[in-house]
Amino acid sequence: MPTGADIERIDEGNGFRPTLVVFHCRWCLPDSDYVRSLLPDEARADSVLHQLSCTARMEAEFAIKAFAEGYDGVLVLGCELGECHYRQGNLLAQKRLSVLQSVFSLSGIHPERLGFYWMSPFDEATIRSCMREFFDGVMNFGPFVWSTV
Amino acid sequence: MNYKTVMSVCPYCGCGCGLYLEVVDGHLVGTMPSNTHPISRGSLCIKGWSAHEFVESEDRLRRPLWKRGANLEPTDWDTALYFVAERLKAIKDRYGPDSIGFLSSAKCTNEENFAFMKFARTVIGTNNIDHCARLCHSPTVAGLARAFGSGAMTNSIPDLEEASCILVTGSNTTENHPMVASRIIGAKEKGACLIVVDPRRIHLANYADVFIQPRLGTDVAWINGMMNIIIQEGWHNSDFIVERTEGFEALKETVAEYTPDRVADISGVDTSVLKVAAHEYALSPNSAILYTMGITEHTTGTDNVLALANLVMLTGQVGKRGSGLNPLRGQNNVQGSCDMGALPDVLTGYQKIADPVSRKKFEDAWGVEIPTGEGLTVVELIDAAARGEIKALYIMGENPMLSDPDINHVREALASLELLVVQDIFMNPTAELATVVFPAQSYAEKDGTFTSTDRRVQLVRKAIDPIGDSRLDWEIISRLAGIMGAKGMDYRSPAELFEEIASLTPSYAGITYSRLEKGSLQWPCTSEEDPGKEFLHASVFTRGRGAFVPVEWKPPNEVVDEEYPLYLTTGRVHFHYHTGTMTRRSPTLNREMSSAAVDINPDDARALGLESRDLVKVSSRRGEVKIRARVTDMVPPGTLFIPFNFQESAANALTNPARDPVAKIPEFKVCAVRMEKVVPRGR
Amino acid sequence: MKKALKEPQKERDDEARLKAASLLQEGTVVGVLGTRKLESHLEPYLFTSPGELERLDSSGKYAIAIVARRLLQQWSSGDLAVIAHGCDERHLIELAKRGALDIDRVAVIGLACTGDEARECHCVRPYTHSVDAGVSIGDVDYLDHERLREMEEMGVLDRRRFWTQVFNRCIKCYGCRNACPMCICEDCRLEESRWVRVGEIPPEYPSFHLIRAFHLADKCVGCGSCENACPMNIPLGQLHQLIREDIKRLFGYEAGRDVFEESPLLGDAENGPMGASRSEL
Repeated sequence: MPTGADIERIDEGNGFRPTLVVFHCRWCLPDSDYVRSLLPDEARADSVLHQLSCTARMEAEFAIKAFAEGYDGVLVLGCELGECHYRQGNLLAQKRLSVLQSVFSLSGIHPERLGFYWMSPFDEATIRSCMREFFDGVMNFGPFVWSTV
Repeated sequence: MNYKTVMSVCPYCGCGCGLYLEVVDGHLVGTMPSNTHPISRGSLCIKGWSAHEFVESEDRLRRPLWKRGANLEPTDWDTALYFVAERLKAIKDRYGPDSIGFLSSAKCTNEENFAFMKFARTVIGTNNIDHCARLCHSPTVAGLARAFGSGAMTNSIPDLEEASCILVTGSNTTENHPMVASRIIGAKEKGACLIVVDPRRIHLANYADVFIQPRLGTDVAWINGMMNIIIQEGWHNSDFIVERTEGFEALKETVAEYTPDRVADISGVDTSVLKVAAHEYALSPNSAILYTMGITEHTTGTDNVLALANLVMLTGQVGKRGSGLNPLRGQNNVQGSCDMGALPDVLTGYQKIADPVSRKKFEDAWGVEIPTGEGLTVVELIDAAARGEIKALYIMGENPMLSDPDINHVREALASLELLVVQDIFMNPTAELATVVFPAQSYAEKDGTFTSTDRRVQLVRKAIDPIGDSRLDWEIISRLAGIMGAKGMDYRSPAELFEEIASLTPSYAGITYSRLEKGSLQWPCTSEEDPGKEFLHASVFTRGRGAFVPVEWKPPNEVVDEEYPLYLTTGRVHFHYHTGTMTRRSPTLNREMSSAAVDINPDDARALGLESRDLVKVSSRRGEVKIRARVTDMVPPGTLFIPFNFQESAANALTNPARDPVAKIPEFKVCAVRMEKVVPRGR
Repeated sequence: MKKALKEPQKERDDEARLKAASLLQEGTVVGVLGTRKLESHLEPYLFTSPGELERLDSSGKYAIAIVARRLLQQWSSGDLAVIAHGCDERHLIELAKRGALDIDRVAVIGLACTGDEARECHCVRPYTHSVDAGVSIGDVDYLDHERLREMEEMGVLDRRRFWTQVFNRCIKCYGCRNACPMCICEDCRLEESRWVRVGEIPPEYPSFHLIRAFHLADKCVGCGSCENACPMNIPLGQLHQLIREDIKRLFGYEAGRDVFEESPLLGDAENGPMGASRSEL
């Protein structure tokens, strides 16, 4: 629950290490340890990783709960669109996560704190750079803090 | 294929929300808020939305019960009624009418309370009638009657939204009077200043512009301190004082002693914050005070109320919209049960038994002599029972085994009675001790009226047929009276009862069922043309001039010491209502909260190595309770909070029965306890 | 935002009465669901004979689709007529879309709302497909509703400050959910302690409110019943309505518009997951 701090100042984000929750599809990225190794150094230790049977398994509640508990960013990694093991799972996930971003944006959570990327498991470089891009975005917004009342 | 919505009133708290009971093919399927109702305005709290859930419960008492041997056995109405009639007569003949006591119900309708009170006075011939109002707002009735001449909420819930400053003290408003909290939010949105004064950091404190956390039991000190500042700064309303009050000089002298240092010393309240609050409250165009049990449930409850009344008169913040002194009554009909005279010293409309003119009026109307002499109050009745002076108790819709202080003592007392009659809708710890149990009907099965906290009389309407063989409370009383050979208790309908009430009660004289069909009416409503009163004391107080009654701070009866080093305060939770007989049978409410927890400050928890969910034992000089811990900064260090709604961890096993000398209310809010961690076996 | 009592609409009432009377006289419906004015209140009512229609008052607003659905579930046969505002009709369509209500058993008596009524609910489509009573004012751009525009113009941080403050008032009455005809899940997520801790006031933030907001994203028809039911003046309807506008922008989808228009958040009917099509399942 919100604890006091001036939100503007905090969101400038100097010298903080974002804690992320990462959901990754088991078909393209089965190994959590491997996924963790691809994270930027600063995020590696404190981030929480969860394997999903498909990104379609991703529920809004997971991300909402993550922000309720004070995590700074939620990252979803899935197969390339068209390559879903269940044919349309990731398409569904993409639509769902877009709607969730809109819900976040309207209720005051920067939509960039919810990132989703569809990638080939063989393209390690792309995976790393997507993660880096997401991470830097979250860094930019600073720690996620509910404002005081 | 039948669907209907029946407009009625929520059976839980004193807000008096209008709601529709939805009935499909004769069954209650849900409730819906009324959009057009002045209190609910389209909303309900979770209890209101669940108000249908307990009504048709499996647990409802469906047949009369009689304890011939060791257990209560089902029986038929005639057997039960004749047995009770015969026993009451025998006990009255042998020990006198004052050996019998009556506990009336703040949940039953006005008509039922009136019938019960009339039964006590005319059929038995005793003034030993009281009810749970004793345990909550008796200091309000006593204190405000003395200061203003009337003990009721001065303003109305709707007009609170027009206040420019609201001071809430001893009331966890969002949790216990949600519709009032709704108005506070509305007022805040219009720019009002909210001051919250409470020893606990309640939910409403999040919205306060000024939040003050005094020590437990120090209210007279901070209130006098506030008046000291107001007078010093010249913020008092001299015109009002001169024109409308008496006794100012004595007040001025008393509060002069409550200097900032002294107040800080007693209550821990910082002067500068108190000064801000005083400034806002005194000088704002319309300032309202709201209060409940945090002010009243003390051995100094009456003094606390008088102090608030002094503050109101000092600043002239009464007699206009969005102002006044507003005790928020708890039960759906506790205002009504008091108005109906279910009290040991008054008849309806607070007409005193001691006043020969009032007594004669009733005696003429009833054709019976009314006993003189004040009867016993709730806790006194229990004590007298324990001493063997009270031989029989007739309890309607009350559960003293959970709501009275020191319940181990209550159990002994009730067990020693020769006759205990309990009339209720569910079995509860009190009913378990009964000789006879009469199954009564709930609010959804009866017609009648409730009077909510802002003096609002409203119609309650029958929505479904009676459950099992339960009967209407007033019918049971009427039948019993008939069997005992009494005259004038043979009622055919609630309307008939109401007509009699109106004929004897000036403040209800202008209220009729047909007028109530058009909407609620707020008393005093003295004639058919009178639209009722939104706020009281507009040009004069009920007693004429308001009386300043200076009071001095006294400490609580039991303070902490080495043996019992922590303070315990008790109260309520949002999801349950009082002793939980109805709410704990409602799945929606039970899902939110199915058991009690003791609130412990993080500092105290750390010192004892406690975490939330740990099992602890809390003990006092009266008893002990095992309960789970909840670590929260809602309570200050050194203070615990236990809600009283849960019978298996009954807060009242611990509380102090010491009473306010005037109002006779027990000191539920302060007692001394100790706490230890319970280590489960096998660890 | 607490709604003020509405102005009675005499002409619209007369037109609705005419249609209702003819349906009752034809004997094709068990009853007509609407609102009835009594001396002290305006209540949801099932009119079963033309004589009762005198008390019909179309200015009443209750989420009547909840009642319609309950009655159709309870009574296995028989049709119902419903005096519906634009939002009520959208509820019926959306519920039918999800198999929660048999729309063939419902005859809609369509109402058009006045400009004032539309403003109260910040509604963008204050009329039914076919209007039987009242005069339609047509579509209203959501940005013409001041409160919606203000909220949309706020930056993310201001929105966070705003919603944190107002949601902190919440007393978990569940009024928003109970008053919403689209909240029909038997196992409501909000009641699962795994997602929202029980017994807390205010309820776990932002879980309670955002879970509901997300779940309703493709179901909300913009009726404002949630906001009307909230005792703590939380402007819920505004949040849901803006999400609704985003859905429109993202997918061109509007809940309650067409019974055959499937939500973008559900699987593709033709090419379901695992490649099976609906006819094969």
